[in-house]
Amino acid sequence: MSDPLRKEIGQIRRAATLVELRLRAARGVRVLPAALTPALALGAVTLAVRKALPELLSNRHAWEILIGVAALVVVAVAIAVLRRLPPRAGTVTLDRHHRLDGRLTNALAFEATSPRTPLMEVAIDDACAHAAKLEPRRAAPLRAPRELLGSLAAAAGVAAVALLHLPPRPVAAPPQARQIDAIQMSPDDVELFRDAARELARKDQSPDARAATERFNQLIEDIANKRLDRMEAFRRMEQIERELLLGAEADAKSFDEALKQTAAELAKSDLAKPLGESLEKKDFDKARKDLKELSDKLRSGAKKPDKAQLARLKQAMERASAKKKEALAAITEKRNEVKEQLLAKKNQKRDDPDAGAPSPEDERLLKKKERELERLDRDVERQTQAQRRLDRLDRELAKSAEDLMKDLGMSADDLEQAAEDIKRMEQEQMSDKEKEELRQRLEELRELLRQQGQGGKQRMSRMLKFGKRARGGSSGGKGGPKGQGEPGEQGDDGPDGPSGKDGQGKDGQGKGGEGLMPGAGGQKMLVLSKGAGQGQGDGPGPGQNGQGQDGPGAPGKGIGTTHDANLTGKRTDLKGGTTDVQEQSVDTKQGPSNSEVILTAAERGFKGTGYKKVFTDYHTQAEKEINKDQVPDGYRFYVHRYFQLIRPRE
Amino acid sequence: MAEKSKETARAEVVEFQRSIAGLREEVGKMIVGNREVVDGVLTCMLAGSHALLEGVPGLGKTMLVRTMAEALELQFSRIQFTPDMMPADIIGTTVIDEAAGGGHKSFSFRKGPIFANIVLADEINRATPKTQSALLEAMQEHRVTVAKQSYVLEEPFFVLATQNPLESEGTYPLPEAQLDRFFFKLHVGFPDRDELNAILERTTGMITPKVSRVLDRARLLTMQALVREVPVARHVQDYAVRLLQATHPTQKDSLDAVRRFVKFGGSPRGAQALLLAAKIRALFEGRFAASVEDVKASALPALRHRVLLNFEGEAEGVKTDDLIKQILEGLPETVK
Repeated sequence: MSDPLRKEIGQIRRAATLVELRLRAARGVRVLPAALTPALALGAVTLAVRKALPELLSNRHAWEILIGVAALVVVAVAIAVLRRLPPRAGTVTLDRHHRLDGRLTNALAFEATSPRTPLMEVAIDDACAHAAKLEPRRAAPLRAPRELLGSLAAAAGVAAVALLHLPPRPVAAPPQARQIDAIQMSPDDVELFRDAARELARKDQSPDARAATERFNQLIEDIANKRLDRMEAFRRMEQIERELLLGAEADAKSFDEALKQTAAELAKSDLAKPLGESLEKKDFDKARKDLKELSDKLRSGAKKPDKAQLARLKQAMERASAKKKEALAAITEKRNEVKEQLLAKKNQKRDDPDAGAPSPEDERLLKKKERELERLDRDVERQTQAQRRLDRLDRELAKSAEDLMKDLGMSADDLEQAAEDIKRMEQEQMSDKEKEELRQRLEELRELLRQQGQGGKQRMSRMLKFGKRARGGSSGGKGGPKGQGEPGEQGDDGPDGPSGKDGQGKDGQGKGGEGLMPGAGGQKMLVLSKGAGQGQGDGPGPGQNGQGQDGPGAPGKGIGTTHDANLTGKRTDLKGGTTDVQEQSVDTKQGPSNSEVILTAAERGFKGTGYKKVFTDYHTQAEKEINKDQVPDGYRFYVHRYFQLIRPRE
Repeated sequence: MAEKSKETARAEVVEFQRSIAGLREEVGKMIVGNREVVDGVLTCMLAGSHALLEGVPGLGKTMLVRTMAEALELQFSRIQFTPDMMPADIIGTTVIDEAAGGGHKSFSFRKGPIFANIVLADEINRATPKTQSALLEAMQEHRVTVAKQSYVLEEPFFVLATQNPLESEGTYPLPEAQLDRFFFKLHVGFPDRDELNAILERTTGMITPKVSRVLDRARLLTMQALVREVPVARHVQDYAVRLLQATHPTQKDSLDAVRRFVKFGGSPRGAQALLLAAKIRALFEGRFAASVEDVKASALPALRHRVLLNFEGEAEGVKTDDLIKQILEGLPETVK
């Protein structure tokens, strides 16, 4: 074989070798996804377990697994690459790709054969003619298999897991009780209600009133300790109130009427007239004394009443004890009568369905009867309750009347017993008052909580600051030498107020609230406006425009626009020419004037005995006024609340 | 000397291709399409062996063989097989010859139609097995023996037998030994529309094509010799052997289908046929050596009649061609 042919045979061999290498590489690439995808999945699981459950898989073990998995992939690919190829795979592939029908394979086979026939030589020549055109790269292309996409996805998953940052798992906390959204009340208010409860507890109460007071006390303590949410607080208030109302179910009016009847009958007797008059006035203390006097009179031999007087007394006492029963019997009889009529009407309607629809007139009558029956039921109930309370007194009076003619001594004993009953009634009456007071406190508490719920934390924050200031503390606001303006945050409720942050005492440009202004006789007066800011100073404060002119009326939302009608004195000099009246007050030598006290309180907090006195005067007067006038409950609350806020602080 | 030999060999191959091209052209005058069948018949002829053509009547099997014989300057005889045909009708018979004037009488052998270069055994499966077997010696050994006297048949000798599908009425299956002696079994298919149109144009017109003689006996023998010279690489030969082995159900690595449906695999004659056919195909295509592809291309006609199905295969309607295709698909081209 000539040298050129040797060269071409060498080319064929090299091409075949290259093809075989590429075939091995292609085999490795084909195997790669099959090995890589599960390996990556395993790696991702390992990483995930390591990150999520570090206690299950240590870092070292995780690395061992990852390295092991990577090694498996490498081994699998290496096996695929290194595995033996079929003999002459390179030339067969080249033959197939170039459509040479085995020329190259045969040529190499013949080239190794000796001796060669002429046709073998020709066959080799024939193959060598194609040697220069061989394309090993195209004959054995390296294509990434589609399955490699799955491997890439798995690799992305591993990367994602690797980049995933899991926060360290918190140590399992012990089970906690359910958190409640505890209701919050300012310590100032808590103190107020505690004081009220203490005040009630000091009084001589009936057992049920005492129990209600204790429950109220507990309620306040629970609220103070943030153990109640709103719903629970309102539920407990309602429960206490229901219990209070239960004891007071006896209608006071019916009781009064029944008592008046008794008093009127007793007043007809000369001997029992003082007693009757005392009962009519509901002066139980005097009634008890009158009864004792009467019993003494019956016992004493000197002032022993004559028979006629005794007879009238007996008659009066009998009537007094029997009158209410007659009234109750009359009402009951009337009720029964109405009931029978109503039943008859209903039966008639039921038994005669052919009568058709009842006329509007019949319907109206039926309804009227039903309403009348309901009213009578209520009357019977009231009468029964009133009678129950007076029942013992009535019995004692009846017994005394009975004994009167037999044995005056016994009758006197009965009357003394009746005096004890009156004492009991007095106590009940007193307990009713306490209950009513407690009920009012509950009402105030309810309204306070309701309003707090509307204001939320912002309102609570303001209340805390106010309470601190009221005790003389500083809330951070800076006041000038003459006037102290508060930070504007309290001016939130006064949308129309200027936005100055610090009130200027001189010009009184606070946002409203409390301002001192010259009053009658040159005394400074505390004037309240509904603006939330506080302008304090000698000059006209924002209270000029306050809405306080209507007294305890509803507070306005913004700064007032008119003067208090009761104001006297000169108009505020806007240029700062205010009138200082302090000197005149000092000359009284009876302690500081009200205006001085209030000014001091405004500057240093609501403390001190002087302020306590002034507050009591004002509060008492205000209570009188609102009790005298027909003031709606809703507005009464604001007055009460106002005085609660400015009450003296310890 | 070697260079010259190479040139000569190359020239012979070129001449071979030219001769085959001429022969194809002449045959193509009469035979439309059926290129594979024509090449198959030529292959058998060049291999010095015999071909069995199977197809329904009327597809031009006889015409093909006759045209081939006409194109080759060879002696041609045609035997129409019938059920009542006897072996002597094919081989010949001994008759008494009486000398002129009623003198000496002697036996003389009258040659039958088998004494020709190309024998067309038409509808061979219509004859009884006994008559079919009369061809055995002639086909394998190219001679016949009658009354203890052997008569050598003139080379080239090859039998082109046609047969109707076995499902046709009045047919007798060829014995396995007979079948094995056929180099190829070729299926003659039904022509497509274009081929039918061409057939009609050539056969219903005024002019009937005439086939010229393009090859003589000597040339054919030279070509047959050249076929034998075509080298076969070891891996190709090994592939042919492995392919043949794969048709045997007893082989350890044979396919499940082969194990299940094949009674007997191909005989060594099958491997011979594969290699010779591969060589001839390489020459047909101007190559100087046979390749695995050539073996693969020859597998179906060379093996389909040599692989015998068992009862289950017959019952299941398994086709031998399908089995061979499966084997070809699964067989690696080269092994260690």
